[in-house]
Amino acid sequence: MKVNILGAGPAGLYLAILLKQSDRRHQVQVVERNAPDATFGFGVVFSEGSLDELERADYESYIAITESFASWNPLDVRYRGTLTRIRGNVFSGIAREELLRLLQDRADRLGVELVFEREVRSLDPYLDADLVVGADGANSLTRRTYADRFRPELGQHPAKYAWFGADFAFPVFTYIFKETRWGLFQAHCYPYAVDRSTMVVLISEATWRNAGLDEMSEQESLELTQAVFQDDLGEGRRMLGNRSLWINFPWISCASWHSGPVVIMGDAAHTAHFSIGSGTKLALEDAIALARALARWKDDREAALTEFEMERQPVVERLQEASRVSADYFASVQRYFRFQPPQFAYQLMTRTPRITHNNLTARDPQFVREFETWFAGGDGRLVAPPPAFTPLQLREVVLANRIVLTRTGQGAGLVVTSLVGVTPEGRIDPETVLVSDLAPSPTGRGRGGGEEVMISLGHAGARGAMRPRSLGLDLPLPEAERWPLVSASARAYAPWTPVPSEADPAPLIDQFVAAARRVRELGYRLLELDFSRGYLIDSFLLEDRLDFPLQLLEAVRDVWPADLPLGVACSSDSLEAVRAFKAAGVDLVRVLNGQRTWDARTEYGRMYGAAASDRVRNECGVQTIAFGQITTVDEVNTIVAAGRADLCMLDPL
Amino acid sequence: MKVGVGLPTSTPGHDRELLLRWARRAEELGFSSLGVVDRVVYDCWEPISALTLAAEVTEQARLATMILIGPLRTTAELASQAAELQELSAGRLVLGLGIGARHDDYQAKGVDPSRRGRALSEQLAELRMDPASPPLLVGGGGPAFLRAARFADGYVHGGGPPRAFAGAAARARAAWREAERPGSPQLWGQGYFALGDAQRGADYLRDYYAFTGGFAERIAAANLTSPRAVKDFVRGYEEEGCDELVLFPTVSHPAQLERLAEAVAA
Ligand SMILES: Cc1cc2nc3c(=O)[nH]c(=O)nc-3n(C[C@H](O)[C@H](O)[C@H](O)COP(=O)(O)OP(=O)(O)OC[C@H]3O[C@@H](n4cnc5c(N)ncnc54)[C@H](O)[C@@H]3O)c2cc1C
Repeated sequence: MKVNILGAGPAGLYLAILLKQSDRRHQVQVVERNAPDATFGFGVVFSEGSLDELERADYESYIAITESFASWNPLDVRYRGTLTRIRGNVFSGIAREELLRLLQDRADRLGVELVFEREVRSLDPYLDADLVVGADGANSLTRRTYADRFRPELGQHPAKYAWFGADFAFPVFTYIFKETRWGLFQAHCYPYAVDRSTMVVLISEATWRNAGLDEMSEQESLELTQAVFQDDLGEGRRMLGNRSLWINFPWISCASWHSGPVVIMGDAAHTAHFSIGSGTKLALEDAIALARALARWKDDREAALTEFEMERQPVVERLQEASRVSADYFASVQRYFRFQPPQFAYQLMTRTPRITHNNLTARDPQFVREFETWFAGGDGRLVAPPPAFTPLQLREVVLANRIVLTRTGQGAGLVVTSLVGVTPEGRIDPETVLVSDLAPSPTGRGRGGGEEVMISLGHAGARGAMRPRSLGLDLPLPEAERWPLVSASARAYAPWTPVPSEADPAPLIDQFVAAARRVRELGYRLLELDFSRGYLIDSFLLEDRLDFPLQLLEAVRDVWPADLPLGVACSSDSLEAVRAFKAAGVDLVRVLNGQRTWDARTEYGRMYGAAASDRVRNECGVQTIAFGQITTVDEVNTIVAAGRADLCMLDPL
Repeated sequence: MKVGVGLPTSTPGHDRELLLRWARRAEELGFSSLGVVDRVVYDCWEPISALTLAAEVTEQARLATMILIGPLRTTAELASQAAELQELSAGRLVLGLGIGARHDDYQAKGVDPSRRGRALSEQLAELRMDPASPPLLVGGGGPAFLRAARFADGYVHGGGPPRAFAGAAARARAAWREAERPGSPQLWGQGYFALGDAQRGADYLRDYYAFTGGFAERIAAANLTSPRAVKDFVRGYEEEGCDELVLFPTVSHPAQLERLAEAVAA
């Protein structure tokens, strides 16, 4: 087989090695525009998981690479003058230059034809082969040439970053968060040789401008950055530059990676944000999968390339998704600057759903134990319950744990009702409970389990007079059975639902106040007002009419005892509104983003509700309940411990 | 988990005799349901007509569209067809609806595809509120999860390995919870098989899915071509909480059905 590989980065070189190694008769040529020793970047980091795959794929290069590794397992977080260390993470680093040299040597000895200092300007001269591989990096000419077949999607992360080095080895992987008068500087640092480290520095676009970096030379920007981090580097230590300027991370993904004899791999086909693991590892794994597929489907190239794509695309997509979450985390990390150091570090570790409380406990049981005692109140105790089973105080009410369910008798810390109608017109359907139907509860607790019960008062608005939920959602009752509907304006909720008339706010306030009084008289100690999901109050918020909801809230707060907590269920779409609710005396926000309009779209991924709750909690400084595919106690532990919510609605599977 | 089988309505060489024989035999072999697909611009049977034929020669099996492209029919037309089949089959119809994947089907029917999501929702609302409505399922991605929770009894997945099904099933359940529907959604899965004559099966899938570009290759490559593969697939779906898995043939030959029954039973 004749193979032309364009680009001698990790992907191209490693593929050449594996092909030659599986069959010496293959004619393999690698074309590279740079000289063999020209390279950018500093160290390459391999995080998470082992490199067993490399060992199986080509033992010689595996030994050569791993012998040159700098390895460590703790991870340091330097934040607000403190240092938190978390163990049990597996990392190794190697100089990119060294990695390429080792791969070049191995390729050379196997008889790969390596052509350096030749720029590929058109693919045509290379197409006379059985296979043409575009391993030509993020700016891939191959991908651009066949853009109509590969259908690339390109994007940019808003933050700026630059690769620097340091003239010493950081003891372990280190995250540094440094506040300056221009804004936040972050560095992700890792050693890759006895006297060298990589420092990837991240700043926002605003910081970049404030500091004047947009107008500085490379040398000036190096000096400024070094001054920022000098304390962490230590006296006399220096940062190093290498042609790397402030850039936006490019997102690359492609619908297809192959067409006819042409296939793309590595950065040419996909990028994953560096904050979650190196593109280098992905590039090497691509090479392994491609070589393996080609060996299995000797005379059927199409089958081989299809198999390669089928095997790698899902893996890459999952990593890309996690890397997006991670990139967003680092871009909005200032949201968490109110956190105490242990929680800040915990949040950093669990920033993507890939690492939960259980995973973290397996990595560093001591860190988690100390974290748990801190979370439970510190006070010198040695043992503490996991975060989900830590009590929560809301004004005078103490909830036994952080789990919210919709039924009593199941062990929750809090039970929240479905919407309880303030008036018969406010019902969702004939089965909606009315405030006048509520059973008294002298203790405020439910029967059976003794959980605190939160009554969620609301008015269905344009979503009223529907058939019961056993049939479906938003299915209007037959005309004869409907009651009159009101909403902020005379607009139907959905194309198939009836048009309401315009609501008169004044009597509604009285009705809510009367209902709140009644709830208290019955003995309940937690009250929530439902401002969510396009129901009546939300229909005002959807029109940016904050006045009426606020008046209502203030009126209810007035009659609701000052020592008892008041909640609101609402979306995270307007943080300004949430801040106003908080100022009006709201203690707890249940963040519900779905169904505000009939065609609103929710992405129902794992723990999808945690991100919205996080935003509300940490941007508005209010306690929250997260809802949305939270299905295990491990997930509740993770969300609560990371300060993404104070309580979680659990959907047991 | 129940296991059903697809009817050969779009595989090359489908005909009336084969369909009748297949339906009868599938029921004898214990398959719980008979499934059909829907495409306009392809050599295949109209799904409701095919199920009507099958209904005449079976007694027990459920008759499922997986899926039928709702917006290509007027709601009145679809409702009356469904009601008729429901009566004819003594209530065995399960109507799975989706928007389909192809624009040319819409062109062929002169229906504007840009409003298809909304059209399907409105159609589902109307069907659902008819007391004579058959059980409904919704298929698709993105907005389909809430659509299923809003209007239907469950969700039909479009095919793929058990992992892919698991991801979609979790979303369907999450939407169900968000909609505060009691209980949990019915979850249906599907797959393709060719037990013997794998090449012909792959050719059919490449052709049927040609409009997806490179994706057709992948679908062809995922075809279940050995009893082992079928068994693993069935077990995988069962583990992920599938309620009913329907396996579609890719080769029009009665022997395929016998082999499938053996593979599933073994
Ligand atoms: C500035 C920068 C610095 C980086 N530093 C680091 C780091 O320190 N650590 C880390 O883990 N990751 C780093 N990365 C990311 C990492 O390099 C990639 O994820 C990884 O190298 C991908 O491997 P690859 O083989 O697919 O592509 P690359 O390593 O990009 O290799 C592509 C090769 O193709 C060659 N090429 C491209 N076009 C042509 C052409 N037309 N003709 C001939 N040759 C061509 C290039 O010169 C290059 O050698 C860095 C990326 C950039 C952009």
